[in-house]
Amino acid sequence: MIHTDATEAPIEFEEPDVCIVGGGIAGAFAAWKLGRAGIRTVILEAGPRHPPEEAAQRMQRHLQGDYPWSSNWPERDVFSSAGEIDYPLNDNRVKGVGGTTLHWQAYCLRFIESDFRMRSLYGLAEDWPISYDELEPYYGEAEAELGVAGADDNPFASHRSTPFPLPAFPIGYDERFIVRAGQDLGITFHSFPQARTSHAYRDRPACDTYGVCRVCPTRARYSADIHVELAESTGNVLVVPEACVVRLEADGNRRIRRAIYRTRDGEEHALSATRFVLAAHAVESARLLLLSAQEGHRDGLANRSGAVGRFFMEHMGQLRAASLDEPLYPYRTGFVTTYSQQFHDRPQRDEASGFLLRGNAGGGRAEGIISSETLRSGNWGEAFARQLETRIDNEYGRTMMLGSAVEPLPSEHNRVELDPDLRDAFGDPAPRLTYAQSEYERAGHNAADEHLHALADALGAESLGPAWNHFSSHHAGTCRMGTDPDTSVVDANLRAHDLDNLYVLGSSTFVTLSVVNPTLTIAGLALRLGDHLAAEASR
Amino acid sequence: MSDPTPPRRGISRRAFVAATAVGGAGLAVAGYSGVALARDDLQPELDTSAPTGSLDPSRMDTLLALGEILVPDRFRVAPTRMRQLINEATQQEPGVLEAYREGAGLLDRLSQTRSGTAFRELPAEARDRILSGALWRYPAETGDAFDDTVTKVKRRLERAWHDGAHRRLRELVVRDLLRRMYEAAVPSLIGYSNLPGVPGDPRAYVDRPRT
Repeated sequence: MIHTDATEAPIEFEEPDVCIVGGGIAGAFAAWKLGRAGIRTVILEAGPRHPPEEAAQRMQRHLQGDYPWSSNWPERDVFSSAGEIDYPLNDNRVKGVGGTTLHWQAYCLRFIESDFRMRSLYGLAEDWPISYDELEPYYGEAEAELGVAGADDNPFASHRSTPFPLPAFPIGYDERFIVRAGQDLGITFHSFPQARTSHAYRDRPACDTYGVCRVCPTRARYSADIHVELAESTGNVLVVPEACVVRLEADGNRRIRRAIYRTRDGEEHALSATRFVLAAHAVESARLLLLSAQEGHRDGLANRSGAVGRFFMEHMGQLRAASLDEPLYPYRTGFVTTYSQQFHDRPQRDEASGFLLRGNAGGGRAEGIISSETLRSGNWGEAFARQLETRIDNEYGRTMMLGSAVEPLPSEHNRVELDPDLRDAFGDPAPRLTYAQSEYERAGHNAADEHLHALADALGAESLGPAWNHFSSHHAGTCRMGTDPDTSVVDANLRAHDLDNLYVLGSSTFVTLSVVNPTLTIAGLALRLGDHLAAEASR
Repeated sequence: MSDPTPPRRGISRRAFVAATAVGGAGLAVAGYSGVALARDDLQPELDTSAPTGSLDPSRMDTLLALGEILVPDRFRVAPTRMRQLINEATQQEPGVLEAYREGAGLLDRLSQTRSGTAFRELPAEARDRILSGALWRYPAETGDAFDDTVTKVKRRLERAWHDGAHRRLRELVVRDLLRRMYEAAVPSLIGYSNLPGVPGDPRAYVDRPRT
């Protein structure tokens, strides 16, 4: 019997056609497609539901500096790091119905044609087994479902067959400074497509600029629980929250027989299905395949190539604070409206990664100045007010955060493994991450940094702060797709080379990570897989 | 020919004694304050083991009256909001209730001694005089080396000079309320129509705020 929070299951789900592991955007989009095609589907999601009614309270936590999506079960989500970087896996990872889109910034960029052909064009990494042209219709469909606001003003983007469903957000007051500085330097900035409503769209209101996009209280910023609800409304999809899949069991005939999942009460359950879709995030999908080692699959499921867990990729960004002599009025929105993709596919891409550039107001908040002034001053009344106003006038909102992001390359040494010394709440080995930045990325950072310095000069910045490197939580590559079963985990249709009814979905299947945000590509692949599975089921 | 011997610059005995006395006193005060400042009890901290809860109405009124002289009209939040800020602090942050109670009590005692009436009953100018009598006034550092040295010395001497109740009034009540009240007034302070967490004009971000 399936454990569920539903009081009454609308249909019989004892043995669904499809079992999806993971209720983030990949699982949500695939389930929505399958549900609409009449295919009985169950989503097993490790995390809880996060009802929209809780958004206001969560927003207040965010405003007070708390991470609003912290795990409700930290013992389950333990991990370790090996290698030179202490990787912050849980910093932006959300387990719950809707997944990390509950927390994301909603930037929706398409990969470009060359991203799928890095081997052919630059002699680097591997080509994808699919092309931009094959994915292009699904990019358009994903943009429509996500409600992406954008403009066809990016000369560096690949062709598109459908317009953006919503007009782009106008460029912010602060970002006009970087646009003008770019013009002086021959750098083109353009609109930043994002799944955020510049106008009311379907059931979502227009963005009211609450400015706390990490927890949007109105759903103006898209989150995948929207498509989970749409999938459920088809009557063919059942969601089981707080159902943590701990292994997949295969039979001796190249098929997964059932998923074993555990609930918080410690109970173990099993779900049989005709097909299984593993959409549990690039770390957990790989880990689950490794945890499922069994007779006939000693190194884990779908791991004949040894590629499961390897080729872990992530975007590392760099920020520098430039001090300007005029106010930029920061924090009036929670999002960025412009960036430059000009150096994504630059001629030197065979030697150093491409990069994105952006710049928007940031720096210390007014509350920080207030706190500091109250500690320094022994005044009150009008005297204190004048001191504080002077400091606010002189210091607040004059920082331009100049940023860049580079493209990683897959390396077999960057990987997710099972930690033999660390166990999770179920007693299973926790994931251990090894990640190091490559010379290719460093060279890209250096090239980007020259442009950040030039932009700072063009802005007339009085000073430029030290570089601050940060991860983007764009995990990818651990179950990569390919045509060769000896070097990849899944084929072009995302089916495991080694198992006939197992599919892997999400950024874990990416062959390369491009330099742009991955979610739109995840969504496009999910819609494509949904169509593929629906067609396969109807045969 | 030799140069004439310059006249000897002497110092009177009286001046020497005065300078020595002043210098000695200065060293003594500096030494005392240095030693005293090294003691933990000169930097007041909230007693986080103390219970949370609500202020009684008279102490709440005393702190509202204090708030009126801490922040001028143009940045002061409405009394209902001020009351809410105080309640949130005393009910959610251990130690604040105790600190606020003690601070309000001290202000009332000083007021009774000086004016024979409760602090909250006094006009604003009289309340300001009470507070000025209890705490020293000095500006924040400005970057001027001499002024800033004076400010730092004042800040240290005040801590060394005052008893614990006055130090807690300064650090845990006056500074705390100033911070909370100005944080609540950030939009007017920086000229924005709304802050994060509150819906605003969706196109306002493309222009300068109307200040």
